[in-house]
Amino acid sequence: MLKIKNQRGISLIELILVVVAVGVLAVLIASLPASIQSIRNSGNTSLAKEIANKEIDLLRKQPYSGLSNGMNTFTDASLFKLPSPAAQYEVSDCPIEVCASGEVAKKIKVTVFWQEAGVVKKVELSTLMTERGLGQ
Amino acid sequence: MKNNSSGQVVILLLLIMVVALAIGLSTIGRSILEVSTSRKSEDSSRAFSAAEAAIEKAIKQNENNIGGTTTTQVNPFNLSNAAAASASAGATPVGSNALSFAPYTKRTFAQFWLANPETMARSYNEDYFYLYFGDPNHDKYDETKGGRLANQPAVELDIVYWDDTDKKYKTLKKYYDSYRDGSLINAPRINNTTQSSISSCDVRDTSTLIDDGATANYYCQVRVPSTSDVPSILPHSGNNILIMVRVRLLYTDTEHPVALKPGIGSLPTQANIYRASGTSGDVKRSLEVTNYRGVMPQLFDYVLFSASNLKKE
Repeated sequence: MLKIKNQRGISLIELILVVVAVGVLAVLIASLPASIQSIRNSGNTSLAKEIANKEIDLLRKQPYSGLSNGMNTFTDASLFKLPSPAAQYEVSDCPIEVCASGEVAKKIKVTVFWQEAGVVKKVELSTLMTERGLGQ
Repeated sequence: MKNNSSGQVVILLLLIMVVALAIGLSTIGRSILEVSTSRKSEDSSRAFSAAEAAIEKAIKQNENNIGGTTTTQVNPFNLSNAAAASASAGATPVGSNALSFAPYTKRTFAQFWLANPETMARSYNEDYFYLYFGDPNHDKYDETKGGRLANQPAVELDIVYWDDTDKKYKTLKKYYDSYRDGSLINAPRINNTTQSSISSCDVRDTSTLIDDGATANYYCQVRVPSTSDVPSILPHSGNNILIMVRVRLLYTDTEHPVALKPGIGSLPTQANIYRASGTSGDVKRSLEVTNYRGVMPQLFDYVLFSASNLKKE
């Protein structure tokens, strides 16, 4: 009788515990690359955001007359810390729904692009600039 | 013996699993934190850009209201990237409120107009005004520092006025120190002699209404000129015109706010306050910009010595 008891093997509880533990570990290990990727992505997003902010500050300090409508590219010392980066700002007249009372202003849209695992990511900041406004 | 070693394997396995679990969980936890931080900081940048856009719009809308006392409202608007903003603009100071100058360091100076800043016509024509200075929230009186205030400022005042008798602009300099009290022991001294020409604070740790209605705290309040000063009133007699007051901080290496409050009546309107808030996601950023008009370079506070005529290159 005692011998049979010894050979009973593993109980159901033990089996469930092992299955659960192995399952949790498997999920964790499977999601590790995605987590590391998202950490990298958020680091890049923060950097891109800083670059866009800095460019807006620089544009504010430029004479207003130098802002002509169109797309321009710009570069920054930290830009090349991003994988295959590109940076641009678009100057356009203030859209009518924003400048409803006919204020003369330029809308500035600064976009910083980079690539992550073959996907193009971007950060976009929009603001308005006027003559004798902030930073002038 | 065999049973014992199989038990060790279980413990070893459990340990490895716990370590793997800890590494995995911390990586996932960190990535969740990073993602939420970067989203918030991106939202915050968008909200800030939107608030700046609203300030720009308010400046533009308020352009024809410079010096006016009405309040301009900027209707809420949406920028393309899911950020929205609104703003208001008003002139300052209002009524008998003080005009405040945001905290600044001794490298720069605060300027308050007593005449109309556009026309230089006479505006403030009273015998005295009050000056508030010093940030009361730091560098308080401290016995361990020998009973002195380590970093509360002294101030130098330049009162610029038009002397109609001599037909010249002149300046009158005054100095105020923020020593603990006006008693002989703590009165300002030079070479151990009490200096009656340098006044101390009249009131300490005091507050006043500033700009368009907020309350602000200051370390020191002085009446300018004090009743014991000679002359005891501002030089505004006859056709003299009080033009402006410029305040420089001395003996401090931190930032301090300064405000000037009319003794009687009100100061001429001389600045515009723009307030804006921008939102993106659940992040809201508020901005306040004060635009002072007509600031003169500091250089002209001092006499220039030159062998030949000065030329602007």
